[in-house]
Amino acid sequence: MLCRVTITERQRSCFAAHPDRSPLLVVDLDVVRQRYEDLVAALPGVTVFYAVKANPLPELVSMLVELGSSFDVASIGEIEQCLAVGAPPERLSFGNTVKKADAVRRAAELGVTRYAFDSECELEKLVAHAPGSLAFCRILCDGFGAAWPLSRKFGCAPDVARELLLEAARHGLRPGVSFHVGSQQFDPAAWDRALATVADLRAELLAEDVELELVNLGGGLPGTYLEAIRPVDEYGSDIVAALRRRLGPDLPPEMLVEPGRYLVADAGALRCEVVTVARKSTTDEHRWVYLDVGMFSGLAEVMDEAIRYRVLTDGADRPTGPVVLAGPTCDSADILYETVDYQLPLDLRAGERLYLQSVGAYSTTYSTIGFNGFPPLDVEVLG
Amino acid sequence: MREQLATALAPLTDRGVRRRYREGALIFAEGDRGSEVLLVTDGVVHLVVGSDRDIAALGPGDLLGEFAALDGRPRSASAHARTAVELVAFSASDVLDVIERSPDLDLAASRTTVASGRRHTEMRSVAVGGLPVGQLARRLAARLDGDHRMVDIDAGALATSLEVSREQLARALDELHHRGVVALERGRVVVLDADDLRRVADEE
Ligand SMILES: Cc1ncc(COP(=O)(O)O)c(C=O)c1O
Repeated sequence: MLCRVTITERQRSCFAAHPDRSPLLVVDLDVVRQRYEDLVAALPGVTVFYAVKANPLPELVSMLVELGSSFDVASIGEIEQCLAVGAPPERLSFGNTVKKADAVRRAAELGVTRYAFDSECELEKLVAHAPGSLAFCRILCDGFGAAWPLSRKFGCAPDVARELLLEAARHGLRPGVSFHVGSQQFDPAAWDRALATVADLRAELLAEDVELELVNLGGGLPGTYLEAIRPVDEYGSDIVAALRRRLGPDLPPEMLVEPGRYLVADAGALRCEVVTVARKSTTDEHRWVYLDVGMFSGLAEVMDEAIRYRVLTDGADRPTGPVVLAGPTCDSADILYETVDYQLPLDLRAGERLYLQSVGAYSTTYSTIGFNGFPPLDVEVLG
Repeated sequence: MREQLATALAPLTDRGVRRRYREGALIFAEGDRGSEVLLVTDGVVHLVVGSDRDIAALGPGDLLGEFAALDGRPRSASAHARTAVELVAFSASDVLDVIERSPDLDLAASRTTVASGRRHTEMRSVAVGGLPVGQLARRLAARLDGDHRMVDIDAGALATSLEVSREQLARALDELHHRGVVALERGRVVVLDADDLRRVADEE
């Protein structure tokens, strides 16, 4: 069984009601609600912390507060945003391993009690400014099997993590471990591999009479792009089985996941316009199709063609040919897809509208504020 | 070999890392990639193959995991803590070092023992079963261009052309990675050892 995604009726009506707005992203919160409920059901015993960075629209965060979600936050800005819409501070986790000392102090004042770290330098800030908190050390993961690996920038090797966690415990912090298997992870077994490392680390802490209090399973659950993905209940059953196998029978007191992409990607449909169709040589059958949306207006994740949005046109059965898709700015990096095989109708003309699916994650806040004079991405939210 | 190695490692526990497990905990699983050798210092460890075939009970002074440390292949059995267990984990490099320095041990002979041990217990490597490792190696080898060690890959297209899922492809790449044949970067594979790659292509 593989997943399907559609543009919802509500999104279609919204596009129809705003014929002149392009590009326009329409986020349907019903989809987010459904994803959240599916995930909670798929991961019994694990608390869901929504990674706000994936899409911080106030209406969306506010709905998740009401549904009972907790939140992974990356900055004081996100902390204040969550608190403003009613999330209690005990439901927040400061998951960024790169924080100014001032940010830690401010977060602690606001009542935040969970903090990520992966270095001595960050640990010192937690010891000084967030005494008694849950300090979880992020360990390196190979990110393998993921479309968007995060491996090099974050985390430390398990032997470093052991020393840091023992030191955290000596200073009265409560030790935890986190990892991120890489965003858009296609392989549900990736969590098992990471949990094997967590289990070793836990046994090493226990040998020093230190209990691991929290395991953070990170994000990585996929959205629906060009490639087929497994349904979330398959991920859930694999992850729960891995937790029981690797960390059972005495599971750590707190286990959490931090999905961003999975909860919001499929909720966003983007309508854009073809600005120019160009044939650049008489021998190459590829046409260059320039859109009014690109790398700098919300589609930053097309970098390296890692995230491959599904592209739809109106009208069925139109013969197609290969295209390169590019954005509207005068920056040569503003190309969406050049090596991935995209096919669009041969009779495609300037002015025609296209639809990109599953654009709800890492898009709304990922646009520049006016590069080349183009405004940030225009967004409508359906509550 | 196992006894001599255990004897040689016993006085060196400060070079390893101590681990403690509660009763019922999994120490490692069949199919895992682990290269550490574990010396039990307290409690009882059961080695299990498949879902329930107990093949050995180990106690203080016993060693486990030396197969994987010496031949780099996946764990051939799971290890479970039957009671509370304490052990010391030694890295593969420490173990090789100890073997080289010990007059009673010989690396080549140890490897032969491991190879026959694997055959003897007829343990299969579940992690590799059914994966397109050889096919993948052939494909990568064909794209090696002189001294250029970098092969750009499009995982989606490659999986399609090998007629496997992306997960299977990921695991096959992972397998080559763990054998030290390739390193993995985003969107490309760095061939670390072209001869090894061709060997895998021929063997599998
Ligand atoms: C600390 C942390 N947690 C969770 C996430 C969410 O990841 P995903 O969108 O893959 O679920 C991210 C993404 O960058 C992250 O940095």
